[in-house]
Amino acid sequence: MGPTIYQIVVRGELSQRYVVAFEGMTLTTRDGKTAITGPVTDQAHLYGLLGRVGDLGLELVSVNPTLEPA
Amino acid sequence: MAGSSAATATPTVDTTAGRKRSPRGARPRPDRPDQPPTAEVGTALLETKLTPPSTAFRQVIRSRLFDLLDAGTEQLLTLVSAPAGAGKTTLLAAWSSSRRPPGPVAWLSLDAGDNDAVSFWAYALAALRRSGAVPSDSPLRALAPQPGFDHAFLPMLASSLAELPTPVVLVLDDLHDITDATVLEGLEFLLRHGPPQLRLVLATRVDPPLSLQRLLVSGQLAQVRAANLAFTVAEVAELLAENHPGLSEDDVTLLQARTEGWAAGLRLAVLSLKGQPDPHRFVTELAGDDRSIADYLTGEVLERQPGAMRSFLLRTCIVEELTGELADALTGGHDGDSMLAHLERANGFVMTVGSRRRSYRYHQLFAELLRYHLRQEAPGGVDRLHRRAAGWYAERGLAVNAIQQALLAKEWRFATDLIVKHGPSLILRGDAATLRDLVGRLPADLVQADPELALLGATDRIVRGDPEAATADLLTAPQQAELLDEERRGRFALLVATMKSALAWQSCDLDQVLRAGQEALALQSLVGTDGLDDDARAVMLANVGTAALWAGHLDDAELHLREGLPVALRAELGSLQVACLSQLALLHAMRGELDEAFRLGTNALEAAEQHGWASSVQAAGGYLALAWVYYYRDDLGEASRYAGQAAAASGVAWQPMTLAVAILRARLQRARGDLAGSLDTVAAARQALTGWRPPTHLWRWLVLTEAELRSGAGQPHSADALRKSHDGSGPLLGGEAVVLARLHLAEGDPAGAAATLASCLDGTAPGGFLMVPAEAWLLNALASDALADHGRAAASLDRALSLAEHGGVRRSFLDAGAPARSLLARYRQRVPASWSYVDELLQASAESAQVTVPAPRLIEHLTEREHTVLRYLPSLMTYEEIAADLYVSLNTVKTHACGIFRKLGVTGRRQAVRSARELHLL
Repeated sequence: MGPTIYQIVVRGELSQRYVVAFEGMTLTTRDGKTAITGPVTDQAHLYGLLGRVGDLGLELVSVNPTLEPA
Repeated sequence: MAGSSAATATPTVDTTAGRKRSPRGARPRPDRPDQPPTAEVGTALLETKLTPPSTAFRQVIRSRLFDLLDAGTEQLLTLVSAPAGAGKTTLLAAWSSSRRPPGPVAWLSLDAGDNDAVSFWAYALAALRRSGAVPSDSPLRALAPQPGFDHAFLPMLASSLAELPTPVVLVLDDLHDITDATVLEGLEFLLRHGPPQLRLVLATRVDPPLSLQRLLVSGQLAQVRAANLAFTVAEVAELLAENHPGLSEDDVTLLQARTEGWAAGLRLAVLSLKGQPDPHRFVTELAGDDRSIADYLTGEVLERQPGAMRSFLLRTCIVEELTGELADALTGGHDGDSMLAHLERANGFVMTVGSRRRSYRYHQLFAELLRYHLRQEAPGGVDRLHRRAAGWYAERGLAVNAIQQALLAKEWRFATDLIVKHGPSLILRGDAATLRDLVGRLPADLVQADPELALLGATDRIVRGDPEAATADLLTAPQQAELLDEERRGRFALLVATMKSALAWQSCDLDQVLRAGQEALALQSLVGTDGLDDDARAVMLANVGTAALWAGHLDDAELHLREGLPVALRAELGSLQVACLSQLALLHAMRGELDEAFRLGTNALEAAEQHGWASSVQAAGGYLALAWVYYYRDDLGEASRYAGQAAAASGVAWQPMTLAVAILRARLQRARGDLAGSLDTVAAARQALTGWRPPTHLWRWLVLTEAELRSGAGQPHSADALRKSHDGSGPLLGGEAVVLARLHLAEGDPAGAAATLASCLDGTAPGGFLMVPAEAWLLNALASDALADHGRAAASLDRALSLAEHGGVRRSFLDAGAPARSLLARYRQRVPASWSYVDELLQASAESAQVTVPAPRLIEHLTEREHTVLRYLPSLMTYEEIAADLYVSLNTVKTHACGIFRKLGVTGRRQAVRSARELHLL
């Protein structure tokens, strides 16, 4: 079992600059939202990513594990 | 007392996602209460945390929000909870400096480094004191959280707050950085007890894990949330009015809608609009756009900056707190100060912090966004900038900041060097958790290959209380040293010695603390500036001094303690000062210099009292010193009281003190005629020393005391056995010789006594473990008299009396009982200078001869219930356990016990058992 792929969706379309903020994740934008997708090692990693979202003043829309990469 | 690190605190900075703000400076961590005496938190409080940030940038005054805060601070708690960039800090800073708050405002900007109860409350208190709300007679003036954070602190804080004459507003900004359970519990405590004068304002990005619901229901909670903080259309209009009068109402509405009133977004929008040829178009486009506001607009704003400013922004955003000097170091320019001032005025990206307003801090969000731009534009440049920052901090001795920057720069060699250089200091100041955290951020293979780092890694094991593993690490050290080049070997040796000493402290192995500590101090002078800094040096000196004291090397002890005291004063390490003073007081008591002991002991306790440390382990020595002085001055009540306080203050962790207190208590019991009790006390002390090897002299002092007591109790064989067990263990200290001489006299061997005393009296024996010179001379007089050397007896007695009168010593004469009385009476004529004193002593001696423990008696018969309880008393069961066993309430058992004590005429359980046995009730 490897890490789970998570998709974190935030409001607003982020530029690729933000890739450095979410290392190891890919950013895709659509319909005024951005999906931050990638392998998440564990809960601590996940909370770390969510913390980044907060730090950047972004609005969190959803967090979901997914079986397919974005 | 100074000591090693033994912290089990969690690391203070989470770096897995690099998201937490780094602590803004070196801040040592305190130790945990179940460890031996510990060092104090360094007191270099960062002033920049204690003043609200301010800005010259024009703000829109939003009085509706001020109104909310006014109303909120009529209650206990106002919670300002909203995401990053909502404008919390700006609002609170503006409100704090207005006339509106109901009382003085105490400000504290928190960061991840405050995740520690002692640190947190030290800062909170500092903030309160700065606010002007604390009158000079309030206990808050001097209150300080103890290392180890005992639970007496919070109630004291709450009650002191309740007594304030006016309300005080305590603003805690960035509370979301605080995750430590103890700190949160402390806040919870304050909220529960709600001192009416306290008005807490908590600013945070996430709702804190506190019992808000309860406060809400009871009407003690006011909230200011994102919805409140969001700019209204009217407010946006005002924001734009000055700079962009050309925008229509529709534009304003559009902008408000697009940004959702988010302060950071609006700020960026306003800045982006500057210099836009067609503002209306810009707004329309923005409105029709889905791009993340902050992302898009930061790019816009950056683009609009003149080249020099743009470059400045990108280069300086890698650190959060800046001075013009640091900015210059990063940019290579000379205009850092003016650039920052301009930044503050023109776009408010930075705010000033600190009262002198020369330090600036970036808005965290903007700095973060700028960093992404930087990384995109100049990927290699980021590391270079971190490296420069590291160098700048290192030059100024800001160790932890320097190391953090070096790590961010991935400059492993540089970081390692800094870590190793400052490691020992961090350990000694009890900041091993920070050290561990920093070492943990180095690549693992590097750590393993580097002997110095590997050794520092062993601090982890000391911190976690795994002494065997740590000892194993230290054993391989010499081989490791071979791998290093010449110049690092000295430093390595210093590190090894420091850690050995710290480890030994943990297990109360005083001989080793002494050995390793002295080695470290010697190496220190060789290694020079690369070695221990002031703070750490003070700690080491106090440690070694204390260890020397308890090992009986009083001269050494005095040297180190006297050296450590001014260093501690200079470094403003309050508890260390108390520790040094206490130990020095005890030292003088050991030498029989009672006046000096009294003076220093009183000083120590006053200093401790002032800071609210009266019951801390650092003060224990002071109590004991005073106890001994009172004993020798025959004030047994006070002696007993202070002995009790010494025991309470030192707790069970500090074994040497426990032993010394036991010896004094035994003497007290004997003075009161309770010989049986005194024997119990010393025997118990001897048996309680499982797992600890006391230093030779200390042990011998105990054993000889017991021997003397047994001899006096008519147990000559035990006394003999005890004494023989220590023959030939090396030269005696003065105090030991005195006890031995008393023993000899009791056994009818005055020649032996005189021989033993010879080295005391001619000064060749080092004083220690309580040699009161008057006593030695008295015993010599008794011995000489028994040997019919009347001339020498008279001379010795004369000497004894003049010393005794001068120092107020009486106890020695009383302890010597009938033989002393006889001596005084017979030689009275030959010591004309001291007649009145002799008479006093004779009187006192006669009175004390009548003091005995009353024979066991039964004042009244025990009831059947009392008999039942009595049968339980010899056991180790607590009263609760007894109550449970008997199916009665605790109160019932206690009542019966009291009845038993009263009827037996005793005051305690053990006495009751003894009396009952003698009366054949058991």
